[in-house]
Parts: sequence; C-alpha cells; structure tokens
Amino acid sequence: MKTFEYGDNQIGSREVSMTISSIMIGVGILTMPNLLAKHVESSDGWISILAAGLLAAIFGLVISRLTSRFQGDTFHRFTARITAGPIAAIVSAIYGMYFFLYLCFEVRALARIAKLYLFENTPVAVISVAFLLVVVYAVSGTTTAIIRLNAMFLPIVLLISAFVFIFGIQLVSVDNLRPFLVSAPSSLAAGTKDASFSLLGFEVLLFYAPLLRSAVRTDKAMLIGIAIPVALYLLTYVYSIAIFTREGTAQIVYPTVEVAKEVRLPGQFFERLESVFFTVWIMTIFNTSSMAFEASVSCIKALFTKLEKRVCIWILCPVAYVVSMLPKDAAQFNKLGIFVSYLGYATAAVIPVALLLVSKLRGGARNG
Amino acid sequence: MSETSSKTPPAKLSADLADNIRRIGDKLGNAADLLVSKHCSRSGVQYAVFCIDGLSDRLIIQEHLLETLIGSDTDLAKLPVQEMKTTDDLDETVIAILSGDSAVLSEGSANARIVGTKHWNSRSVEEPQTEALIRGPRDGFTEDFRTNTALIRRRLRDPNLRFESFELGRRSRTDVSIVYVEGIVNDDLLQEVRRRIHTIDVDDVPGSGFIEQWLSDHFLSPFPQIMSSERPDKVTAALLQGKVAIVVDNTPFQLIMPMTIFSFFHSPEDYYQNWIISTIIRVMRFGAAFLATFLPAFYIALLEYHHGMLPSELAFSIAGSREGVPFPAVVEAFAMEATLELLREAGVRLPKPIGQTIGIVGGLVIGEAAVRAGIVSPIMVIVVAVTAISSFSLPSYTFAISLRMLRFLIMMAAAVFGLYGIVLSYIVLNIHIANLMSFGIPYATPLAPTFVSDWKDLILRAPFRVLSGRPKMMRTKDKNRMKID
Repeated sequence: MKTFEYGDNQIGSREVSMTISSIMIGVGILTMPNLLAKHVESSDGWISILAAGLLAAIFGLVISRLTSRFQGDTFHRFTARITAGPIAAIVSAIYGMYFFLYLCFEVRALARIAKLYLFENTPVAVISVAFLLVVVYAVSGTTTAIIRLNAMFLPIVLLISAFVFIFGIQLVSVDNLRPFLVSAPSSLAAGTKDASFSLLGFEVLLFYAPLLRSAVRTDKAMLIGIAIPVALYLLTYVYSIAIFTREGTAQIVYPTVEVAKEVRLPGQFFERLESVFFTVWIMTIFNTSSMAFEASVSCIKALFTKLEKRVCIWILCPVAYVVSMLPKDAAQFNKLGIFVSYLGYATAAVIPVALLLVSKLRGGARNG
Repeated sequence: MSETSSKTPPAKLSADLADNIRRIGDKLGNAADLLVSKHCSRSGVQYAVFCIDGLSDRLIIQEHLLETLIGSDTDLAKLPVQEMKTTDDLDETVIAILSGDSAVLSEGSANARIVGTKHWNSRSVEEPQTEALIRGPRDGFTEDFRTNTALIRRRLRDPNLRFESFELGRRSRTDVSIVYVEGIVNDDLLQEVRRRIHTIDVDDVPGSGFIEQWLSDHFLSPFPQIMSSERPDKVTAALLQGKVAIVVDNTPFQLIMPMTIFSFFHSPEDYYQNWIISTIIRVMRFGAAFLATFLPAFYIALLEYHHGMLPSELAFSIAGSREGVPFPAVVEAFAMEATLELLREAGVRLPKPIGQTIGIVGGLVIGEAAVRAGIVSPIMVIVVAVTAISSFSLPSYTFAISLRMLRFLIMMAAAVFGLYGIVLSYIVLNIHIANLMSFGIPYATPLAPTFVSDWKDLILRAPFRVLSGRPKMMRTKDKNRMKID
C-alpha cells in the first residue's frame, strides 16, 4: 500500500538543535571531569570547557554554513561538487570510518560502565550485543525517525540531570572550588583538548542536509545545540569538583555518575540514584550511537551505491561488535578513544573548513 | 454493482408484472421472508408490493402504500411517502428490497418504485459500555447506521458536515460513510482515506475493526493507528480537529483517523471539566500507562538484579515477605500477571452479575490464597493490583490492550537484563513509535516532530481561552476555532 506523506519527513530547527545536543552528549561527559581534573588546577576547568565550547561553536558554524549552502544535497554529492569525485570518495571514507569507530567506542564504553554500575556478572559481550541490536533496529528505520528519537529522549536526559543538580546542591561545598584562576595557560590548553573530546559529533549535521526544512536557520539551531551540552558540562564539572574536590575527581573514573550516586532523593525511594541516572543515560548514548551508525552507513552507501541499506547494516553490525571488543584493557580502550577523537578533529574542523573555503573560492554554491 | 454490470448487461424489469414477480422471486430463491402482496386498484391496474418481513415498517406499507393504492386511482408517482425513487434495474430493485425498502411494481410498467420503509428492531441509544464518563453526554452509538449518523449530525448542524456514503462488501453490502467537515479537513488526508477505503474488496465487512485493520499504515504494529469510539461527542470533537471519521453499519464502534499516541490519553471528559483538574488527570493517565507497562518489569529488575537500589529497610521487608516463596521473582511475576489476564478475560465473557463476582473472587481469594500458600509474596500482589488498576484507568481500551501485551515482553527483557533490559525495551518501543505513521502523520506528533503550539492540549489541557487554534499537526484549512477578543 502506498503510504502518503505530508512532507513530514523533514526536520525543523528544534530538531536540529536537539540532534546536535544529543550526539554530543554521550559517554564523554561521564568521564570528562576526571580528565580535566588531572590537567587543570583547582576549578579552572570551566575555562577549558568554555574555550572548547567556543571552538565547537566556530566549527559548528562552519558546518552549518556548509550545510545551508548545499541544502537538499547529500554530503557525498556536495563534496564531489566542491572538489572532485575521487577526493569526495576519500572524504566519505574518512567520515564513514570515523563514525563507525565512534559507534564502536560508544558501544564499548556503554558496556564497561553498565558492567560497573548495573550488573557485575553479565559479560561485556552480551551487553554490547543487546545494545548493538537495538541500534541496528533504529538504523533500519528511517533517518527522520532517528532524528525524532532525539526529541523523545533528550528531554528525559536533561530532566534527570536537572534532578541530580537540584538535589545535589546540598552536597556542594564552594570551598572546594577555591582558589580561582590559578592554572597555567598551558594546562588550560590541555584541559581544552580534554573537554573538546566530549564536544565532538556536531559534524553529523552534514549528513542531514537533504532533510532540512527550507526555513531552518541552521546557524542559530547549531549554536543552541552546542550551548546545551556546554552548559551541562560546565554544571557537571563544577559539581564534581565541588563535591569531590579536584584531587578526588582526578581519582574517580566516572565522576558524573558518582555525583548522581552521592545525591539523595527526598522520600528515600531509590537508594542509589546512579543506577537510574546511568539507565537514563543509556538513552542518549543510544542516540549518539544510532546517529553515528546511520552516518557511517550513509557514507558507505555513497561509496558503494549498489549496496542496499539493510545489507550494509547487517555487514557493519558484526564488524562493529568485533571492533568494539578488540581493546583488551582500559589502556587500549583509551587509545581507541583518543584515536576516534583525533579523527574527530579532522572531520569536525579540518575537512569542513577546507570544504567551505574551496567552495567559497570556486563559488559553486547552489543556495549560497 | 459496477462489477456485475461490467460483465453482463444489467437485467431490466419487464412490463409484464407476473414475469417480474417470478424473476424477483427467483433472484431471492423464493425466500420465506419475502412478502409479495398483489392487489388490484379501483381502476383495475394490477400492483405488487415487495418487502422483506422484519426489515420493513409494516405500518407504512399498510397505511400509506396499500390503502392508497387500492382505495384510489392515485398515480404511483404521487404515493404519500417521504422517500421514493424509480428504477428499471432488476438488481437494484432486489438490493433495495433486501435493505428493507419496499418495491412497488405495476402491470404494464417496466419501472419499480422503491419506497423507503426501512425499519427493524434495533437497540436504542444507550450509555457507551467501554467509554463511560462521569460528566458528559450519555448517548452512545448503536448498531444502526442511520441512528449513528444522526447522532453526529445532531451535534454538528454545520452544513459543511459531509457524509460520503457507499456500500462495502460484495455480499454484505454494508453501509459505510466517510465523515468529515468540509473546510476544516486537510484534502490530502481525505483523499488518502478515500483511496485506502476503496481498496477494500471483500465479501463481508464484519464491523469497523475489519476496516480499521485494513486501513492501518503498519499492520504489524501492536499500536492502534486508528481510534474506535462509541461516543458521538468524541467523534464530533475529532471532526472539528480536522480528523476524518468512518461510520460503519452494524457496529457501535466508529472509527476516527489519523491518530497519534497522545490522543489515546485524552478523554472527552477533559474538556467538560475545569482545566486544572483535567490536566492533573491527564498527568495521572500518563503515569498509569507507564505503570501498566513497566511496573512488573521494575519489580523483576529490582529483585533479581538491583537489590541495592531499594532503601535497605524496604529491601529487608521485601526479602522477609518473600521468605518461603520458592520461585524467583520472574516466575512469580509471570504467574501472577498471567492469572490476572485470565481473570480479566473470564470477567468479560461471563454474564454481568457473575463477572463481577469472578473479579472479586479472583482478585481477593486467589491473591490471598496464593500468598498464604507461599506461592507469591504480598508485594507481588500489590504490584499486580496496581498494574491492573493502572491499565483500567486508560480511556482507550484498544490502547490499553496493546500495553498489556507489551508488558509481558518488557518483563522478559527485565528478566534477562534487569534495568538495562527495561531501558533497551523502552528505546525499542520508542524507535517503533518514531517510525510509525497514521495516515502519514507520525505517531509521536506533536512531540517528535515538534509542534510546540499543540502542546497546549497534550499533557496540559490549557484553558479554553488559550486553545483557540485547531491542532497545527492536522494542517487544517480553517485554523481557528474561536474568536478571542
């Protein structure tokens, strides 16, 4: 039966913002205060987060310009138009690999944390497989549905964060935040790098250009989308330092979850909020993973045009599983994370800037 | 009808009355309930009146047809009846007779006069069984098509209210009508409803449930994508929102489409009461839906995997109450939930007075006895009871039934993965809903895609002064429903 469309497979500004926020908020935030505390003195990490946010905003604007310049076109096609066929293929391959590794990283991280906070006995492998299958189910649907899922989960995620922050106020001791502004610029720069790892992912907008409603003001939507996670990260960081002190935070692997652990809800119904917190967090990790998978699939489909989406998903799924299981210990896992992040710098900053510059020089814009 | 005419030329009535009587009788296999009365008028013209016993109003036939025909020389065209048409088609005549009308044939004329005499015993308008309200109209649809359209018409004296009537079902020839308000409804939607309903080509249309399943976008989904309602006020309100209704003969359940998930949480009563009360009740319904779907799963997850999450005193008392229960929480939960479903099913089947007894016997006696016997823990009985009460508090029966089914799946997920399983199944559920459409409208509208202006009547039921526009998501032609100075 032919289903008819209202044109409702397009996405508006609000969805764009939520998409950007959702893909940025993932597992990175759970450990970010710990990384920052290792490098930055006292509570000065907020400067790093802000700086990283500013950088993200700048490159986010580049991406939104690029997207609105070629609105209605797929990423692969507009890179081909800006550059040349073979270069576009390489670029697509890089993005495909980046998002694929991003997915693997998220899956493994989720499995690790779930094992830590939800169950001790279930093997990491089983946790990953279950999660991957759910992601596969999401990606098998339409791209629009994946974007709409952000609108369904992000409010819940922000709500539970707000809960933690509101009821955590009593635990905060401002003394832990002092002294202010004591870090050296070099350590702040190192902190900015740490914070920026958690702010990657906004480049996914490049893949949603064909779906954008024509009235979407991508710049504004992009900035709002980046502002939400930055605000969330700032609060999280300040809370972890204020509750655990800098030294404490530097020792705790997942300070964000631990903040939730310390929080006591009035009414005493849940003894350990961190399980609930992380359970809810799975939703945003899922959002991140499904969008990464979707972007990766669309890159690979652009390279192998004859490949069906479903086939592509089912080929990638076991590979993703194997890759996410490859790191044998925490050290190797961190290496994977760092590798993904460096690739992320290329995909979020270097390549889009280059593309925008070339397209400006060539003046080959359609809607520009 | 068009089907037969395409194959063979339509059989015409002849001018010979005896021949016509024989042919109509043959068509109907000389059925016992076919009444043929032959008369001769004062001027000597032979008449025959055909009707089906039990479907026609004998009083009208006697007083208005026969007495006029016999007693005077009145021309057939001047019969004192309200509804009359003329046809020379044999099949049409037969169908008319079968639907309760009377056919008057006269010697020397190849035309039949079809006189509207439909009348049969039908249930009178009663309070809807499945959608009872405290405050609100108590009339519900009946099995009679005309009564149902009249109930809608009575609430909307808008000349733009349209009933597009036709017959569905090759053999059953069920009356079906697409109802909408011209000038409000979106044309694309209307076209799509028409297109889909005209793809139905079957023998029999057994009630609106059949049409509902035929029209649904995703027939594999557990969620209803079309709402069925017994309440004319609900249908009317939906029409004014730009939705389309389908009225079907022989069933009190009429269809409303398209539907989004949130509309299953809304009840007409929300609009009859103060907005604060309605909003609180709506919030409660959302909570109820959540409990009905997830509570037993949470019980399983907490007891099997996450003891630490409960406050220690509660954990101890639960552990204490479970002392002597030989099964794990999973088995306990599945056994009790299955029993509950059995009880509910039994309660529906049994005659009313016994049904209630079964409810009490089942609920109290089995629960109490099961606890005493040490098969289940008292906490489990509380969980089951709360689940049941929650699922009863949802205004839509079909939606509640879907949640009941999903509950078991989620319980399984919780049994395997604990909280992780619950959140994964919640995600899967949301993925499904995000992909679901009802007549092209995404099922999760207005949340995703977002129509913020429609949120005024979503969980919140804003005061009427604020609800001046029709839902944006319906893309209605007429955007406003009230004027506010």
